[in-house]
Amino acid sequence: MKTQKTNTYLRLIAIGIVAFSFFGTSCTSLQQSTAVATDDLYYTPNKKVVSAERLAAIEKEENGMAPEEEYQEYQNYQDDRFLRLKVANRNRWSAIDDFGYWNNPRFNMGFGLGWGGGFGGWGGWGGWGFDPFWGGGFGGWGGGFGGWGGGFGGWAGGFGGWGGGLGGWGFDPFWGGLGGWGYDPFWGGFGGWGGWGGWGGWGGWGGWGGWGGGFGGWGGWNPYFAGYWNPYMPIYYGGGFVNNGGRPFQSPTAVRSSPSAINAYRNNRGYNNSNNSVNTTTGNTRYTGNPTLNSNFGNLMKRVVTNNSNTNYANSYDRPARYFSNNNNYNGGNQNQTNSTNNSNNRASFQSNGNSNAGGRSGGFNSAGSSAGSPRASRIP
Amino acid sequence: MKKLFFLILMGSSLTVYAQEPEDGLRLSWFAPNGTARSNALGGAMGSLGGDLSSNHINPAGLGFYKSSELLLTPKYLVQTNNFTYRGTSSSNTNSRSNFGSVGMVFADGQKRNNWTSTAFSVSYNQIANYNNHSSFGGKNNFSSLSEKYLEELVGDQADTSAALSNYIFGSSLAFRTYLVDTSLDARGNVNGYQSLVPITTGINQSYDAITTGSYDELAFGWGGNMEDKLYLGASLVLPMINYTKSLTYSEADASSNPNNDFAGFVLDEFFSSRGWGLGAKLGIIYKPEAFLRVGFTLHTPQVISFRDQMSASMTTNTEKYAGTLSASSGELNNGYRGTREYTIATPTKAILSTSYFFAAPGKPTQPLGFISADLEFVNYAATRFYSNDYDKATSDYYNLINDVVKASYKNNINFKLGSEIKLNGNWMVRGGTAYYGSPYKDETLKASRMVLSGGIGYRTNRNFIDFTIVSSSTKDAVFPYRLNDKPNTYASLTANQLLFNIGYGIRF
Repeated sequence: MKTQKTNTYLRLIAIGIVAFSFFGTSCTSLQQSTAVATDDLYYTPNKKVVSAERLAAIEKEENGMAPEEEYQEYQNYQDDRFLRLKVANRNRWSAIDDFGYWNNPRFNMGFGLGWGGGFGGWGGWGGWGFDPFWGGGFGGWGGGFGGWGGGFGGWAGGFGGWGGGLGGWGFDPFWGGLGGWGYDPFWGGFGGWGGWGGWGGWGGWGGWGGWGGGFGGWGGWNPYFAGYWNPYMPIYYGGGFVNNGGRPFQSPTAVRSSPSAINAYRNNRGYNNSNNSVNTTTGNTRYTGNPTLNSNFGNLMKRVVTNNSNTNYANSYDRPARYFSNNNNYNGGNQNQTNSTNNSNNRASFQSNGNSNAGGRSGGFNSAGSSAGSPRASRIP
Repeated sequence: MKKLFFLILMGSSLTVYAQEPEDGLRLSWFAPNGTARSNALGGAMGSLGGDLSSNHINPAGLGFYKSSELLLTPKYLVQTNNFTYRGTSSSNTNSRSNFGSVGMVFADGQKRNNWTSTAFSVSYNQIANYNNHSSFGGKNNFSSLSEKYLEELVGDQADTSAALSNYIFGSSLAFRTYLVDTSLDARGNVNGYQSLVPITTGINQSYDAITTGSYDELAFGWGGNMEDKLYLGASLVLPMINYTKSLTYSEADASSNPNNDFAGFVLDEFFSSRGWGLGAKLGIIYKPEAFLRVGFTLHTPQVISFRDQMSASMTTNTEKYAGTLSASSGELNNGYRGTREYTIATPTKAILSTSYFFAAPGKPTQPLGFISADLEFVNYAATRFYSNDYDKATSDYYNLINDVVKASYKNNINFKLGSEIKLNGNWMVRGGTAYYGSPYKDETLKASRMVLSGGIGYRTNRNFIDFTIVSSSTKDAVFPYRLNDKPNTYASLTANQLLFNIGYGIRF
């Protein structure tokens, strides 16, 4: 109880600290500006834009510019910027105007989305490519490799075949001139683990993205030749993987020594969530309310008769039992035993061939003890 | 000394195979936690971005960042479990708190090369919390857990020597304490095994499990923005799992008959599982119009390497048959717990997302809020177990597990919906819902997760704070044991969770 109180106090203190730090640090900003708070989820102008070209606008804003004016100012800037680019190189940027998908002139960069790469033989799934450097490099690479030759294509790789392995996400920091980190499943050098979609792990060994119908890939983004498909590198054939190495995907067949507890998940979809009515008037307790149960599951029960001088208690009851079959297979069949408890601690002879090496999978656990342990305690004589 | 060293080596290297399909489901079927804002939106963040949860849902959303951010999101959770087991209802409540999501986003809001802006993020997120207490019980005159041991011993054709020593986490304990004993035919030969449980007079069963731990993700993400139009992102995630389960299961004679050779037994199990691995999340968000966003995210399988430990003990009172006896796995294994090492590949997830930003008619460029929806495709049956040992028996075992997983689970489409409305320049209200369907192929088993959430947020240019309350209801079936040859019994669970979430962020 004391611990609970302490925890409660700690939580209250923690909440208090958070609240205090929030309001403490935010009061200044609240007083400084009544403008709409920037929220990256919606939209925030670039910092560069703010510092270089909208300084005057910001000053005006601080003096009372309405928020909508601020937003519109940005849009005007975008329009203006596009016009400047177009003036600089009409041929280049005219593609945007002609591309119906980009009917909004505010977007000064193009977006080329096309089917490229065709079918890459037996590679994996080509994928989506992105090439910031070569322009239109386009990722249509298949088979678990990112597209080399240019910016290095996006993600894909090994997404074909069956098993659905994944390739990697590719950015090529070397050719693409990108900052940050990149992941190159082909060269493996950057981004570390080359296993993804490259060699080794994913897409490598059997089943995962291994072999399968290749698909060249689609899409591409080209900031320079915006709007159309790059004719220089239209196709990357996927290399794909042949399942000739690594760990094979074994056929998932049940093994005889498998734990019954696991097999029960698959083999038994019958459920019983209500109890049976019982008849104790005769002193015996038997299934009486469920004839089906009697016929189907009574054979898993063993009638045990005990001598009991106290007539208030039942002198006969059923115990669950399971029996070996003659062919050494598990059998739930009825052996009609009447009294068969074992009073011996010694190893009894087996009706079938008992296996002293059996086990190791109690409840699914491989569980042969490493110490002999004490022998089983004797029964009460 | 050499002998001692050998014994220590034997004990510490004991391999445990124990695996159940639920081990995989534990890693895939949950409503992920995120930031307070994300939680308030029902997790429908796939096409939104500008929130730290992007690093764990759709990294392309990092591309929306143009200023850096530090975020803390402490959480407090209260859960009530309502069980119905064979006509008996029970309920228990437990609570826990944690740090939720913690992380930073480093944004470069200046245009460089071809990127309008880029952002890098490091974040730590608890996506599933395993702290829980499940307790139920009831009278049963149909089956007993001891029958699981019978099936196992007979199925393996185990002789008494094997029964004594080769099943130290279950059947051997039952055999040593006379919960199960041999069955003899008329000639005195062992023809099977029998349980001492007088099943038809009924037993009172009790299941009490306390689980602890969490499924955490450390993510390193990058997102890029091209002309505020196209956003690409990727994150490298390192999943870390810590899970423990302390189970006390008992069966007691319901007849109070002191002469029927059974008073009861108690099984105590301890299980721990620790793992870490690697995965990736790849995403794209595209804004065809200023008011519309569409997104696609692919979560690769997370390859997680586990090391588990287990121990068990049992005490059985068979009255005049053998009295009260106890046995434990530690006694049979030089005091060591059993261990196993293996690898799990979680299912691939794909998320299709869209969001619509609405504005006042006279101010189309000034969104007043949005509505966002995600469809999440998950194939729970694609969970795969791999042995870390490459012998055939072990491989066969894990193939069996995989086969059972494929036979037991199915793919599903989870749905998330969220909306936010700006009250003014600083205040926002949010609401969301999510529905996660049953992962089970067997339609008899009713399982689902339903989430309703709401919250408010307040933002300034320097910091923000979000308050979120999430109410979720989970339906599931909990099996105390599984049998092969009789109808199984299970407890129907309805769990109600109430999550209080605060998110505090500093922008810089």
